[in-house]
Amino acid sequence: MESTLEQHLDDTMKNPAVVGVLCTDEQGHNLGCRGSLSDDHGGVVSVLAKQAGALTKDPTDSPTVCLESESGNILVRSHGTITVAVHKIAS
Amino acid sequence: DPDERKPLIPHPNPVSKPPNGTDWITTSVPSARTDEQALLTSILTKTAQNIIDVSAADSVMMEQHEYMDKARQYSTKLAVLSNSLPQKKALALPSLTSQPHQVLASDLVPYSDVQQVSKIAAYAYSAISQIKVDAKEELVVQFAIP
Repeated sequence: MESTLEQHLDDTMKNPAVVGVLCTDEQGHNLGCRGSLSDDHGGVVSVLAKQAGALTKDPTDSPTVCLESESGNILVRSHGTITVAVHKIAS
Repeated sequence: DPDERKPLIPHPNPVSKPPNGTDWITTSVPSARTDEQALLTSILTKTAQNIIDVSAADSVMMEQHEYMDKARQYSTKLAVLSNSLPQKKALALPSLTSQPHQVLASDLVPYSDVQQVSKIAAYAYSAISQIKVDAKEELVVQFAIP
């Protein structure tokens, strides 16, 4: 039953600008990852998204956290109980 | 210097200086005092002891030259002490770039990327929801004793 998620992660990596993708649960446990993002990043990713969400009182307003660097950006966004991080390089 | 440790705002005597804005409950015990009344009094007493009423305190009158003298005295003392105390090393944050202006003025994260990630997250969430417990048997069974 995890095949849909696995396929979705593979599809995401097909984009040439995407070099990493990571999916975690609310506690930062890794649900699936590819490329440059791995287990090690799960904790930080989920906490960043949670803290950013605390900045606004509106629960429907889900922010996207962007970590910018010269080598690319890591965008983190929560949806429901999961958090997704995508590492995109400058194309 | 005996004045060194004298508090700047002397603690107001709770008996002689009642806290601002509250009526002081008289210390004489009326003949019938309920537990509630005693509790209320103790709360008020504790609060009054912990509150320093700044407006009711006598202001410290010091002449200009006295003030300057004291300031000079303290800074000299500090200078002496800071030489003997070990310096707390401030943790320097790593410098990420030598071109901060360039980095800050560079293009923003493209909104299309933000939208893309939003979609990826939504799809991932719906994919996750397919992962659920597939209950095939009862968890609790009776042991059959033949």
